[in-house]
Amino acid sequence: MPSDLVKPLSTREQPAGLRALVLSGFLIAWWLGGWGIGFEPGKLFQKDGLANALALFQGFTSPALDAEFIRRIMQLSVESFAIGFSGLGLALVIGIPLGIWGARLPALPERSRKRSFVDITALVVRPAARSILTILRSIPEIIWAFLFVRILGLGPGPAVIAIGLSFAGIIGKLFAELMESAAPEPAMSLRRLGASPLGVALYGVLPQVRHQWVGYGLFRLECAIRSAAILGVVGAGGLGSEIDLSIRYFQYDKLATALLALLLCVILLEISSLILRRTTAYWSIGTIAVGALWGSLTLGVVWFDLFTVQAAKQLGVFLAGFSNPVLDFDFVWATTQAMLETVGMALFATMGASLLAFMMAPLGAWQILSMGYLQDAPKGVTHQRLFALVFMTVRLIFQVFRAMPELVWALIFVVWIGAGPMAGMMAIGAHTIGIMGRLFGEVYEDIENRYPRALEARGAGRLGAWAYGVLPQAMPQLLSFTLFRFEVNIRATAMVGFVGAGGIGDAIHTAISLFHFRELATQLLVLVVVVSFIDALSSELRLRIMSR
Amino acid sequence: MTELVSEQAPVLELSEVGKSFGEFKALSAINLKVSLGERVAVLGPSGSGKSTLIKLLAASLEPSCGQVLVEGQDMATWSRRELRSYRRQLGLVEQSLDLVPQLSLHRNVVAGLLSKWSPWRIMLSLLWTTDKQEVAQMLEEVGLASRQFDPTHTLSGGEKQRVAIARALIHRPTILFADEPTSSLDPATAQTVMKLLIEEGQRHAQSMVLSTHWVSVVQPHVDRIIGLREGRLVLDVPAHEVTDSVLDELYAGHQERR
Repeated sequence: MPSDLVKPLSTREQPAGLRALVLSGFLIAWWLGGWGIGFEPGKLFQKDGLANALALFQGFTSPALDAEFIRRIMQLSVESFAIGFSGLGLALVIGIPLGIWGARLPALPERSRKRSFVDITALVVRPAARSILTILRSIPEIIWAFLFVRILGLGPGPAVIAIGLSFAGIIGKLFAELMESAAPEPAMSLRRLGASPLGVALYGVLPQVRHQWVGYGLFRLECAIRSAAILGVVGAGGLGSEIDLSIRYFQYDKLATALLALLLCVILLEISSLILRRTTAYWSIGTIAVGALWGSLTLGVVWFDLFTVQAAKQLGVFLAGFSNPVLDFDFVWATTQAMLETVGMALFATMGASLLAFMMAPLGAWQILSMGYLQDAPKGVTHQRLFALVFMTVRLIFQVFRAMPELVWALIFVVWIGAGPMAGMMAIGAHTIGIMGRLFGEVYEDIENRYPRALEARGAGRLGAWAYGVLPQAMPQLLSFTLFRFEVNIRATAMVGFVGAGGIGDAIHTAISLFHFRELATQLLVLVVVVSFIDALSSELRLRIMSR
Repeated sequence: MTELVSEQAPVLELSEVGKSFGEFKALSAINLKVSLGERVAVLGPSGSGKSTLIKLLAASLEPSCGQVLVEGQDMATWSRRELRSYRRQLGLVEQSLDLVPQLSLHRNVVAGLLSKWSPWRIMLSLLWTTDKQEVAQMLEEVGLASRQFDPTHTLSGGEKQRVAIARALIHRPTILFADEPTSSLDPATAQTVMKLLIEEGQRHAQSMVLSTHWVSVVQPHVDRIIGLREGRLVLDVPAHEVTDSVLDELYAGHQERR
């Protein structure tokens, strides 16, 4: 047709089938990669493994309930709360100043003047604060915890420092990002009046982000206590120590009790966080402050130990290792390979779990399950009961999968299918299904009904209204959450390596155990570089997805 | 349900139909017959029940009392299946723009074909770009061919309404319903969109029922004009018989008429 020659081609046109081709190619690559790393579903059904899993499961039918053990578990739970609170307190103390220094504040458009001293400091301070945050954030808390256990000895102290350091990185970065996304006008008008950068930050920017900061702080409190409950696996106090012990000595009845306690703690935490979110910000700030104070007082950590000659010597050895990392090619190459394995495991587990969560989430979102997005949704009593049953079951599955931290899943899968990357992927996948299932469900609950209803009025069926009216609304967020979870899961995968579940975590664990701080330095370097590279890539991608 | 084919008998019939929303009576005691091939304009001041009438005819609402009959069958007795097979023969253009903002123009127009597709076809269409030629031609007719694969949220109000027209007509509906299709647009855009709607509607649909304040643009193109006032049918005459004095009476105390 001649008219086609003059018709301007749309820039976004995609040749038919391209999308499907890319998708199927990606899926194939994903499966091949998975097998390359060692994903063998058959391992789940081997005789020995199944027997172990059965024994583990039997523990849950008869949890250890003698009074003494229960008392111990309760003590450990309280200790976990104390660690979490004081860890978060430390993280806020470190993270907030670094976040404020690292944030780019709105500046007036001015001619370039001769740089004063203050400007040069800003040029140095901001990147420095940012890089410290990145380093703190890239190293999972379990590595910090184990490192400080080796330097300071067993006990809750290392866990507090570990949570303080790694959460400072996470909190600082997010707080900085929130400050940068605040409206610039109030800050600009303060600038015009000649306010100092600190004045601009405190009066122009902070009031805008206060609520988001508090909300995020509460969320991090949940994470900190959950994290405190598992760091005991490397000897840093809390519930984790009991979980680790009972798995090592095959006392599955005690394991069951400890895990149930963990589940209870998590549920208690979520309920109190929900209540706090309904009150004013002062309640949340007060809770965190009082909790941190209580935590650091009750833990009985002798902080003075940090400054003894012994500790200084150990720290010296550690730092000496860092000034002189192992740089011979073979070792760097082996470390890079281990890191790539970790990234591969995280990718495989995240994608698998997201696919499963994607398929299950509609059943865990009332709006979608009961077809509330349609005008003539089924309204019979039988229907409603059936929906309620499915909804509760799916939600319960998500809740349990989510409440068990990756590390606990890893311990279980190491017992079930043996050490190696397969156990790590299963662990990350299991926890991710719970997280994504709930997140996806929340996205689905938030969709606008008028689009699917409009299609329904034009004769589209339930599936059509879902595929063209509901899915397009949810898809960008689903993709963005999945990408974000991939970033988080790389760190989590490095973490599960600590209990023998493959990847770079295994190697780091060995290096710290043997005080090989020069090797450790190289490994951490590789970890930080790769993690921050992928973070940057992924957050750019997420921005593009959401702004489409 | 059979295809809507009979030429003489009324395709659509309202008998003593009323509709209330809580205390508010939107329509009461409406009797109306529409035959196939007829082009009907529904006039009346804001709040007189035009939208409700169109929604009842298009099976988007159920009446509070009375019957809506399609070829003599009461809509209330239909199964979901029959309801869908009726809806699949309709085209719908509404005052609120219900195009999915995240989708491309192409997919929004293709959504007009959803009612005819099997579940497999629907799922596959998410991966493959289907019916490219058909959609391109439809978009060409409404003047947006070059933007087939742009996301819909980048369009202006008038352009969105053009896409809505394309979506309503791509499956060659038997009856086209348009509910104040231009009320959210500025006068100049509204005029071109209204002309386009009438032109395209005449080309692709057999019957047309449209509600509007725009008497002057619509009058030459319709066979019949219906007037509503405070939920009652007060006017039902052939289009050429409508005079200014009749309209003045219909719109007494209101200014929306153009």
